Amino acid sequence: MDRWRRARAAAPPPDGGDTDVLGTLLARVGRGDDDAFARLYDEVSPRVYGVILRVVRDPAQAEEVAQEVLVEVWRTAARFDPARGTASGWIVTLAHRRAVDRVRAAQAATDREKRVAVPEAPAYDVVADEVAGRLEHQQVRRCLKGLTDVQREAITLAYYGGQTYREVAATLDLALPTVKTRMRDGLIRLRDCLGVGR
Amino acid sequence: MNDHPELLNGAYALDALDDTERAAVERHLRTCPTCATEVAGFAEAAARLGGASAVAPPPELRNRVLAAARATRQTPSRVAGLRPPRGRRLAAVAAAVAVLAGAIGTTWWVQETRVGDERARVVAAQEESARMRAVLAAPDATLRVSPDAPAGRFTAVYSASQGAAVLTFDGLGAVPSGKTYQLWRVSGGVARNLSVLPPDARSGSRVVENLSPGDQLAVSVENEGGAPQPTSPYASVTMGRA
Repeated sequence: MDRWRRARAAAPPPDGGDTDVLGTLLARVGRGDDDAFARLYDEVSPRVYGVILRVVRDPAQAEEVAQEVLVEVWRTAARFDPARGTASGWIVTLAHRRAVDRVRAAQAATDREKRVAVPEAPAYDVVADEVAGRLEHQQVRRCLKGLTDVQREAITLAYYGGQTYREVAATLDLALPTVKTRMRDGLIRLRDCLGVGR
Repeated sequence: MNDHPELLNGAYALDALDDTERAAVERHLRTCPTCATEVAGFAEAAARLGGASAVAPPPELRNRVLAAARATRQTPSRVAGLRPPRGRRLAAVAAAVAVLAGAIGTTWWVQETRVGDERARVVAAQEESARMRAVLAAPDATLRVSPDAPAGRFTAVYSASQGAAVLTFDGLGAVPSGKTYQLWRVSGGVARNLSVLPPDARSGSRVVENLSPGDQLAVSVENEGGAPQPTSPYASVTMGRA
């Protein structure tokens, strides 16, 4: 506990300091405020579109999913509970889940014909490189570097590659319990390094 | 996995579980505050990974989203109008059901139960939720995902031993004005109406009873008010044996 409190004190606040702004905007959106929604769009749409694009890869599909997610944010804003996390966390989590849903739905259709259980092996190098090369957040990059190779690969394959932990296990040729453990240990380290959580 | 479900907390926060495992973790989180706290921290950390890959969307998306929002009715806060502890109870049940529907939404499910008084609503919600948990927890429960949904997901977790399925749909595509979605059960080639959804319903979750292997659940696009038989199929799933 002490470890993350110290990390939190040293690190910039989550969301790079816009927590309160976004939380306040989202609360206004929840009361049907159009202007607040337009401002919220300007604040979060790059995060929403960016994470979706990373996962689904196809810009046209990413745009479609981003629209669905942002309208869902408008629709369900009143359900956001600030006691349970940040506004940015809530929105990006929703975006990521919808992106993964889209990828899995497409996969399900292909898999029925191909029955390919294992994705192509080199995928993780590519993903890890992209993460290292394109991250705008210095802090996130630094914290990712602080993970073991396996932790980092498991997390980035799952999060950016949209893979299930079973797929990650196949890609990295690791046992399932190992992958579960690496993901959890890696997230503990990442969380503490980023100074998020409660 | 049943021995140490918290080992899946990391994979859960990364959206790296299949639907059945996700439901199992969410069941566990409701009874384990320590795990819920851990997952909340993981989710924030994962979201920072997402935030770190921000890319400006195409400029034209802005007007489309703002226009779509203006045309979309908002879902009221989950506990609106209810006082605790009953409110908390409904919130817990509603939360469980929302989780099944993909964590968000279930507008039509709530609207459908907006008959009778508040008490009847809470009781109905609890019963429905208990039944959902029973079906999802059945040892022979299997997930069926519609292979042909043009947008969104249309899935059923079916248990032959329970003779029932939890039907969940989410992110269904837009329909032309005057049209709406209608749910069907199909048995022996005969389709029977399950319910006509409100025009703005795109997600929801419910239990369907008395299903045998080979039966189907389906959704079609119909005129508002519904049709006697499906005319424009959208997606379907077939019940199978485990």
